[in-house]
Amino acid sequence: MPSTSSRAPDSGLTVGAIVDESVKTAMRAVEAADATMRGAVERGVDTAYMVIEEYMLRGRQAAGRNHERRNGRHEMNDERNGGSNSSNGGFGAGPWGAMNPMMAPWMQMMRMWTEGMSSFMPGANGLATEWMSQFMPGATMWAGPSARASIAVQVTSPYPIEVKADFDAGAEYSMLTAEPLRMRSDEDATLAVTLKCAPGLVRIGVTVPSGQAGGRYSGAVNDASGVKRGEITVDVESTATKVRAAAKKSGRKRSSAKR
Amino acid sequence: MIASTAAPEKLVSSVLREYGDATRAVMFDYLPTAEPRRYLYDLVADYPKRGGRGFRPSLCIATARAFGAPLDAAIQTAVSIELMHNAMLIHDDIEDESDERRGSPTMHVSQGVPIAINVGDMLSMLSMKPLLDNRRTLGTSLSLRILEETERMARESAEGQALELGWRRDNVNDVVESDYLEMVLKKTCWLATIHPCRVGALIGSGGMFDADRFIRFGFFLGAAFQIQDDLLNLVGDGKSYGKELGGDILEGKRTLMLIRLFEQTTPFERARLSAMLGQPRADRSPDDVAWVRERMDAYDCIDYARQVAHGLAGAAHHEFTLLYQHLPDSRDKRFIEALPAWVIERN
Repeated sequence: MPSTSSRAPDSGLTVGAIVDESVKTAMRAVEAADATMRGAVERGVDTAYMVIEEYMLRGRQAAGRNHERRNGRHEMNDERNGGSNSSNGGFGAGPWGAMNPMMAPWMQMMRMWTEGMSSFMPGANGLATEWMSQFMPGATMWAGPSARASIAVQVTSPYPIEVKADFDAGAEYSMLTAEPLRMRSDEDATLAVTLKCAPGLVRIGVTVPSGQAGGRYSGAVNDASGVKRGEITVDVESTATKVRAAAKKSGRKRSSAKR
Repeated sequence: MIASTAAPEKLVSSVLREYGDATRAVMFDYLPTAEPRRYLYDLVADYPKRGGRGFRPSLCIATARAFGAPLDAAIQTAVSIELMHNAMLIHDDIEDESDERRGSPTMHVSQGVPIAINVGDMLSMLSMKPLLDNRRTLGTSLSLRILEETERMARESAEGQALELGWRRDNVNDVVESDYLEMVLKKTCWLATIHPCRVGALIGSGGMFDADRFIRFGFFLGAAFQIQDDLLNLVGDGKSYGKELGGDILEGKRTLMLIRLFEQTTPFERARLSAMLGQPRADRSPDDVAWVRERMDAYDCIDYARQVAHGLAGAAHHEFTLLYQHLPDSRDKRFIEALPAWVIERN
């Protein structure tokens, strides 16, 4: 059995009481187990807790002996007794450490203030929230560095074109698909694009066939669940249409010259 | 049995499929198609192509997402875990003298031991590349932290494997349950559950979550997983299991059932069991395996191990509640919550 004297401040229980709770959870999970088998469950969970507590204790002792901090942390933290526990969601290693619970209301106030202020700043929408989230571990927005991606565009076109791709912040690049692009003024005029996404790299392929009508084509980029996460716009220079018209015209001229 | 309904099982299957596919799609980009193909690169892709559930990478991705990270942030680390897992499988198969893996002959059976060792080495090295590529999405500091985590996982796994191999070589028969669980903690849990959870939480929290908090949860989940795996080796469906049934007995692997048998059996039977395990594998016969299997039934060793696995799954669920109570509800959180029941019910 693990030591029952040490206390786990995160739950206010002794380690022994945590084991008892765990055994109860396990026992509730076992249907129609007879007395012998209930003993097996109890013994197994007790032994397992003993093994893991001893293992973690050895790690803490080794860390204490070495007094060696690597990247600002010990080899193994005493998270049952340290600043990081379930009352602060385990974010003891964050910027406020054990102060997290006390800092939370103040940080929430600061967040509201920065968001309020940013509403008066053109183009700052969302930036304040993103900036504040680095100080608020566990915020719903991802607290880590933002996932960035390079965008490569491969174009095959007889006409000058311009490709524009907009992706929402936080879009998961490896899960995106593109719908065919359509011209707003003529829904039947479409342009196929390919979208190959890998972490850190999005490859957009645009092939404009000869004779494609000039104009602006746009289409949605969706995530795995079909939610729109961005848009691709391709402007095919209207000379495409002109070139076609000019070719027709010169064809007529040539034929008239023959005559 | 841990209470479960069809819905969590369906959720686990669909998340495993989705994240497994996402991992494989990126993983094959890391497998070179250059020369020498015949002796190396074609073989490097062999085990990954055989499939597998993708349990480890899925756990990494789901943990990162439960903490709020996008899939892109975790996929490289997930790929590294899967490559490292495949590398270890090749070496494990040699060490265990296994004949089958995922329904086909093991690498060393089809290619010979020297080539198989080299292929395993190459897969280990290839697993480092996605971790280096993490710099693009995670930044240098967090990428380095994940590399450190990987180094620790590899060290713990090798220590666990050393214990198991040593017990077999020296025919150690006084192994008790706590020895077994510590060996499983190192050999299985670090790679299968603890490491994926730790790095997933680090990615999801931008390096701010205390990764040590996952050791208990990962241990209980991984130990239940290992015991169920060992049970399937005895009572599983041969076709879907993918390895030879009873192979663990033939290999002399110290499983919870074997340890229980040593505890329960008569001195005469213990001596016979010890003599059999002391022989080289080639000298152990199918009759020996059948006798051990029959004794395990006679002493309820299989039911005993099953109940211990249920207990550990219950403890894993308990630790899950402590760890995840502060996170908002999500599909990924529900997936992780469903895993303790899933690991002991899978076949």
